[in-house]
Amino acid sequence: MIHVSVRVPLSSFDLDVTMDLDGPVTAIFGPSGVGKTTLLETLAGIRQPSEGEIRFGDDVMFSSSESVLVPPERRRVGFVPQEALLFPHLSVLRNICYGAHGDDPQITVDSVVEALEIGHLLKRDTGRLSGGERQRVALARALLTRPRLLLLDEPLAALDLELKERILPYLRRVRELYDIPAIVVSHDVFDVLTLCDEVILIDQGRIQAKGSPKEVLTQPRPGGAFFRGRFENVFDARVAEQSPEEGVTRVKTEAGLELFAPHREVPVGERALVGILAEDILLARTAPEGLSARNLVPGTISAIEEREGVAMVCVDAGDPIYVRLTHRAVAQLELEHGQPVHLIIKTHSIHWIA
Amino acid sequence: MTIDLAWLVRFTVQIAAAGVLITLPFGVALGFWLARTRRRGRSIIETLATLPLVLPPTVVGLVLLELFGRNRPIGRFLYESFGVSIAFTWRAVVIASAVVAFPLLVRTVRAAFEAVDPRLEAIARTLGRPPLYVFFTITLPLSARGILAGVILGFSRALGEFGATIMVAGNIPGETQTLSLAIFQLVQLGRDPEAYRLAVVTVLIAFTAIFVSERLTRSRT
Repeated sequence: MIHVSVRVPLSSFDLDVTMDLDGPVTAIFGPSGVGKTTLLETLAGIRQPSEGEIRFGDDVMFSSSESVLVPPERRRVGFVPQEALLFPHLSVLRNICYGAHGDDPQITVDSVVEALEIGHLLKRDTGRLSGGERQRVALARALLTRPRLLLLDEPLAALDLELKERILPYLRRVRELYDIPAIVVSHDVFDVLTLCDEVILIDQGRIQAKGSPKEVLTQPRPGGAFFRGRFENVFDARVAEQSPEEGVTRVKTEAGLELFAPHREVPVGERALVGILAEDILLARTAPEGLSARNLVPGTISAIEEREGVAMVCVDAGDPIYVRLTHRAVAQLELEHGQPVHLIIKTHSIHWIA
Repeated sequence: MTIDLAWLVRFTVQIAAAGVLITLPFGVALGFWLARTRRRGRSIIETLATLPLVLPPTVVGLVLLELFGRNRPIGRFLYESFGVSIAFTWRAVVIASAVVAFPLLVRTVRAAFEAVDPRLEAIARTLGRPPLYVFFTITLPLSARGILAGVILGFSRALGEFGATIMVAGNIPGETQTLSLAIFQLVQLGRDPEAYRLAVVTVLIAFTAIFVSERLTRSRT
């Protein structure tokens, strides 16, 4: 368990945070410039709080009352900064081995390189890596120090990357392979929803909410990242049927929601994590006919949230599915709570996350 | 006075190189401190370190003489404890070279360190490496070109050093006489053609040094 109660002076306000993190993976989210990165730097030991206490389990890392300040090199914290900050004069291999030490049979260079798929990059200069590759190398570098805590600063911020570049699948893999608690900072909580067990909302240097993702997300949120960001519906499903000749793979969630996703070579029964952007879903009041879209999902409207002309309609179809509409669409279709509707989703609007 | 050109060139280059190498550790340390500290004393220290660059070399020579003369504090101590004389020996020439090279070295080195992102150093420490290790594996390699440029700049300055040297080391042929001192003496003796010959040699050495330094700092950046 990680205990933090610190005050860190910033230029326009103080970061003043008290929290106990049970993890294993905690997401800290909130708008830009509210002190999220500062908090990570404080935990990593590269920024000193003016007062307070930081404990990792029983080990005191910082205590103003006991005059303890453990330097960053003795904290065993793996920090992956937003810009990756790879060492430009070292090859990828020498970057990831920079802090490597100890003989953890679990976390070896080979296993990390394989998990993050960076084997083909090892001899390269860091200058010739894409954004996604840089992040994976930075993550490998942090992992190989065998940290007791991983700190990830906006790992998904560069999300204008192509799908294959996204780091989320790798983060999920790291979580499954190595049992390392992590704190993930993000300005958009949906990015990391499938990754974290616990969510902390922070704004203006203060904690605004804390709890399980479900608890925090059903609370009314300040900021409205929900409306501005690209919200992705994520489904934790299993492969139910393969038909490569038809170009589709049928997946099914535990709640019984069935979707036709683009074909992917995954054995039947395997786990399938798929995502659909809220804006890629059509909504109809009556079941349409003769559509090319292969997914016609019946459901009931369970909530409608509107802000600045944008509406997020939550449809209960076994699993909740969020649909992003304009206010005009909501008004003209006379959508309301409890109404039965049909969702239309093209196969190719569904993409594989893992 | 006979001119042994080969000896003169070798002596001058060796003296300048020795002067720069002596100042190197101090220049790197002070340059790093100036690049990273935010303390108030910074500007004072920086000004003091720059002073030899702008003071008349004769003043620098006078100060050195005041310190290293045989009846002066440091000079007497060295002579009485180790039997080593400084003033008016080749050692004084090295010290004069070092002192005049120092400001150029420090300023160039400071700029080189300032160009290294301190966040890289911070990250290196979170990876479990102590500050000294980080300095030698991250900071120093990333600023190596700038430091080398500073070394060559200081070396070039030391090559042409005249005023401080003549004050503290005199102009003793075969003992403390460098190229620039020899040129001065030849002109005084009216042996201008020989002076010109040495001048051309001096220009060639300086040109080579600066040219190499430019090439090193330009390429790949």
